[in-house]
Amino acid sequence: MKERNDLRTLTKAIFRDKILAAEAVHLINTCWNLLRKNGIDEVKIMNFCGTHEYTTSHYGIRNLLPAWVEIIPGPGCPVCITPSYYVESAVKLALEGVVIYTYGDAYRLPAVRPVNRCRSLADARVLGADVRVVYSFLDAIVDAAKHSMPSAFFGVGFETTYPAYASAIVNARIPQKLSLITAGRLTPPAARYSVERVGHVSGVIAPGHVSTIIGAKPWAFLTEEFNIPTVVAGFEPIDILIAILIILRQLLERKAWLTIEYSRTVSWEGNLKARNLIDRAFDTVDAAWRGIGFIENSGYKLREGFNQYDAFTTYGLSEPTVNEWKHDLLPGCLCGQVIIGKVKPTECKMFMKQCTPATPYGPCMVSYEGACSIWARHGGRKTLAAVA
Amino acid sequence: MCLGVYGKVLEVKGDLATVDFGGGLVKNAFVGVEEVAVNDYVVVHAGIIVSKLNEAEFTAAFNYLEEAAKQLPTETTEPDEYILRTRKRLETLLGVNTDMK
Repeated sequence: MKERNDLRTLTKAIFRDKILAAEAVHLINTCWNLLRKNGIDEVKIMNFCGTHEYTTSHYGIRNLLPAWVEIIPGPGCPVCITPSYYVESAVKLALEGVVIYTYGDAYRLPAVRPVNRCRSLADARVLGADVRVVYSFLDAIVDAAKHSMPSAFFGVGFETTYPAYASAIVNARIPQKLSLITAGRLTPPAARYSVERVGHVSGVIAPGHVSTIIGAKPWAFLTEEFNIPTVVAGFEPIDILIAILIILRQLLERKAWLTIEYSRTVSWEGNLKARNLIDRAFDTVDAAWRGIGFIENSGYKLREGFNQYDAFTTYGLSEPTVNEWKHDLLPGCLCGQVIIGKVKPTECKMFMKQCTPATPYGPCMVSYEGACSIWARHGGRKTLAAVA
Repeated sequence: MCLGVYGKVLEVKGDLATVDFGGGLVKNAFVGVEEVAVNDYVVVHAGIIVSKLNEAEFTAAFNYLEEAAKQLPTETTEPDEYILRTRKRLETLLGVNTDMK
């Protein structure tokens, strides 16, 4: 009997293969030449997800593409878009003696208004606060069960992350003194917001792992209402190249379809069990995005029956309403426009001057999925003049 | 936060599974999918299995390359030649992977 392939190693072998990548690039160039002949002289493709931006930059995909096929990073970095008041609340709790659990990138996320001179959880830890970096909510649950101190989990994330919180809440796995700072956001409303404001977007590469949960269908509005070719793609370099090819072909045929390139794990309906868990634990509400403001139905909030897990209720904190929300970026920071793809990281005057990965000034320079941080570490693309 | 890591399921107990990520890294994760069995390949995101990898669909994305090769006129390569070359390369990679085990 043939032994089953190891899909972990196979993914790297196939989807990072130089020869197959060259075949895809060849077809992209062919398609681009035909587009030029049809009078199209510029293509802007938005990759929604921070991990797509990482793959695009890390593997130098921009430099493999024709000069006027541009890839612009979108709002898919949950740490970048987490409003400052969540950071301020977490820092405040940490300084008051609450154990704060957080992911590594949220640990360094700076707030606009410092609390006791602390802008981030990293600063609070320097002052002696108990801030613990964990890989997952499950790790926090295991750790919190070992002590009796009040603790809170800084719950940033998109639809991919929220099933973990929902599963623990619905299955009553959370230790008594652990609560959740619910800062989760939904991606399709932000995609709508971005394409409405960024101007001309020729195609969208939709987030693959978010779509394992929500399915591909929620992205249909991009093709149906905006006539933008949309591809739900995987995260290997050849996944991105194939997605670009699919978009260029649709532009050539002057059509816009929703396509699943990442069919090895994404379906049209998504993960029904995970969606059900989220629905049982969370409501969808209008919510603020950092540097942007409120977007309709774009945030998670714990349902009434689960208030005992809500850190804001437990510690008497309040979230600002639409009227109370204040712009939450430091002066001169362009992250609000970088997030929606309106401005490139390199167009910000602070990029790699005051704002570097070691000394982040804005939120997009903190997370490994932030466009500024990725461009700082891996570069964007050569200038048009250089490649023309 | 679309970062997902592929892993192989070693054990399932209720709503928890033990997953091998390769390189000696083994961690527990919540089971976030309907059904999961030992030896399944899964996508894990921040401590929860968000999806299973579908082996039958594994190279399906390359059909888009074949489709494009058939429909786009190219000056340098015949479509059939291109498709044959891509398929051969895929088969080689699949074979190498099996031989490695």
